[in-house]
Amino acid sequence: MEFSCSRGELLEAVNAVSRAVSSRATIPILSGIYMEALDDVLRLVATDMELGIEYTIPVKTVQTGSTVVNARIFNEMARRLPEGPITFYISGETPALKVRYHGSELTLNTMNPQEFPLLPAILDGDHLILTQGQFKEMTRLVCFAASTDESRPWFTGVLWDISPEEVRWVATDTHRLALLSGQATESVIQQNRQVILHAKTLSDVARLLSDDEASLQITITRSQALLETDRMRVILRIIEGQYPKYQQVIPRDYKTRMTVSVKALADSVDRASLAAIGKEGSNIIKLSSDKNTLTIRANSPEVGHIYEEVFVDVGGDPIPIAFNYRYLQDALKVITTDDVYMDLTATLAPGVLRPVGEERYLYLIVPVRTV
Amino acid sequence: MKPTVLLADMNSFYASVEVAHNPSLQGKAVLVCGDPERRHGIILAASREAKAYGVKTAMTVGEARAVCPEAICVRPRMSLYMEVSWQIQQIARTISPLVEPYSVDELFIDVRGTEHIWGDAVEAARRFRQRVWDEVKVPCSVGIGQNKFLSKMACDVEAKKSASGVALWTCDDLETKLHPLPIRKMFMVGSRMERHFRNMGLITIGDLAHYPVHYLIKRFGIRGEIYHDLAWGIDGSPVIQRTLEEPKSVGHSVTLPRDYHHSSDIELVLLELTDEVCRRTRRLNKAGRTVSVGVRAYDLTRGFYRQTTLPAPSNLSGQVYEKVQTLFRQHWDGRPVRSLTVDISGLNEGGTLQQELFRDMDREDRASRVIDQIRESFGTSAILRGSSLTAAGLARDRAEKIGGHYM
Repeated sequence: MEFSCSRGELLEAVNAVSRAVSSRATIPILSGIYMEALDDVLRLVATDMELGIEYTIPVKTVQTGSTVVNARIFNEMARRLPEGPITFYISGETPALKVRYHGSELTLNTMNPQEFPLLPAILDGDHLILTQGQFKEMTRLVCFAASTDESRPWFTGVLWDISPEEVRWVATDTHRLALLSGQATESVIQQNRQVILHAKTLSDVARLLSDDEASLQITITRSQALLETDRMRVILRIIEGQYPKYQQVIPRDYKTRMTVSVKALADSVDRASLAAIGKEGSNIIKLSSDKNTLTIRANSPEVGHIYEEVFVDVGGDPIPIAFNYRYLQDALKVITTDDVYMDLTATLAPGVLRPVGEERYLYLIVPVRTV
Repeated sequence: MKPTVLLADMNSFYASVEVAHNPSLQGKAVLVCGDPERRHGIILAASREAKAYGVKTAMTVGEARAVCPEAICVRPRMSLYMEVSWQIQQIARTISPLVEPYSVDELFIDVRGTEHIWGDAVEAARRFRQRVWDEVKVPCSVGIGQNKFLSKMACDVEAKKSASGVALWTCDDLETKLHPLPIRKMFMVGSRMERHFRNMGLITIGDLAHYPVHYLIKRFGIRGEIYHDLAWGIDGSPVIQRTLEEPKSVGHSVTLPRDYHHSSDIELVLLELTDEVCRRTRRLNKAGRTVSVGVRAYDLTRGFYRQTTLPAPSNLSGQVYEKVQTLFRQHWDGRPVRSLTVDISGLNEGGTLQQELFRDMDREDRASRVIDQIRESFGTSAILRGSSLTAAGLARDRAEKIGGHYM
């Protein structure tokens, strides 16, 4: 095997596939990155058997071949290499990988490439095409609402509720729920279906996408999903389990609608969250409205009391309600419109945030019962 | 610094109480022992006469009978012992207001500042012993030191064996009395720490005292320094009136009547413990965020104690048990289990309740409180989970006991 490439492109590829390397690899070969020099391209693959990432970069190939190198060391090396062309070379006799740059040379131990579990070819299944920008927006608006608690694995994922007309993405940790709908550029699906994909992984993939206009091809089989761009293939396992009926918990209407500036509300909530500092801090903020003001109160034995006023438009009777401030803060961070509606129905019923002028998104917060 | 801390330890407490309440047992070998049918068939306490035959606490009933055939076995009456323990605490409070109950039969008394009433600490100890004997007919030993550690050591090592029942240790006694002792006699050193120390070549408390403290810190962290200080008779922990303190955690543990092998059986007991812990947490009007599970294997050395955090404070069995189960499934290695613990800590005021989607928390909360009321009025076994009626369940049996023994 012999090829040469630029440091920049190599680093991009190594960074991308490194996300699929498990920190606690169960079998040694999984701690490695598989490299295969083909005609004019280098293919890098890493997998922890749950997630697999394959990344292709252009190289100048002298001789084709393949090898597996330790991911952590290769990643550290790629970062430290100087700018400029780098040559990789494995001679016939020893399996060691020689890395040459300027006048210097580095020799790395390798593992047997035949032991590496390559990603399966996925052809059949339901097909969707999204723009990369759409995918990134989805991860930004939805993924944070998923749970990190592995005891109910389905809540660690984003539900893709796919029908021929639209796709709905839903994530919840049972204390809040984010929902975004959108249209695929193209979709070929047999029937309506729901799949759950790990939220953290989707966010990781979104970070690897650079071109908002370019397309992201998605193929979904019975147990796996394949996300594909021209340089990258990501295969992830579909999380098993029945996602609860999210439609039933979204309030159909509301008794009180407040219209409020996202920035003003975010700043107030931020200050109110001071009460959460300290050992006995509580995450609870109490909201109540009166004519054209929304008041936010928080208190903690260590910090003291906080009282905040925000100008709002109120339609309907005032409903006092208490939330964990984090759930409110998380959503206000990602909403990009100037104003947001806060729709309430009762003190113990979920409140709903809807960005003004943006019908596709809603965010539901479950209140806290207070004494 | 003057020695002012007293540690009073009731001699053969359960057995002494039984003798005090039944004069016909006077002067006889009396054994307080659990139910031989279940695993509680061990000696909880033996009177001085029985100990003379070689009976030791925690022997099985069979073993004890073998060495002392004429011994009289008595079933434990836990609520009586609690009552007497409470009386003794009250007596202690007439000596000094600074009383810290340490266990059912041990308590610390700090007599600092009472010199003008009782004279010195030894005199206070004598009076306390006399009053306990006069009022509840239970003999006790009292160790005196300048801190809790030394008073406990003085009591265990010297007072229990001396005719007067009182022993006072000062700093001068450290090298002559404390340091020659084998390390396992040291208060706060259990079998596990003893093994650590022995592997380091430390056999006596003196060895530990002269071992370089920075090595201890390197190996055991801050605890290393504490052990070093204790070996030199230094103990900064004050005697505090614990009855007034707010609980920091609520926990329950149980020793199983036989080793449990199946995860479904173990999980059932964990569920019962969770129910009990949550009920007590609700009774305190608290809710906790940290859930811990402890499992000890059949050999009592292996096992684990792990904790995790809830997204919001809770005192509802459903939510807490989810975490208990996850912890257990993550950490259990499949070894037969002998004892189990469930604990809730990080307690807050219990009034607030984070609601959830797909689940009516308010209703679960109300249901739990109704169950609490039923148990409060008609007894703990008045309402049980169906699964508690299976062979593995312990709830029905536990409902009739205090601390694992019949009232």
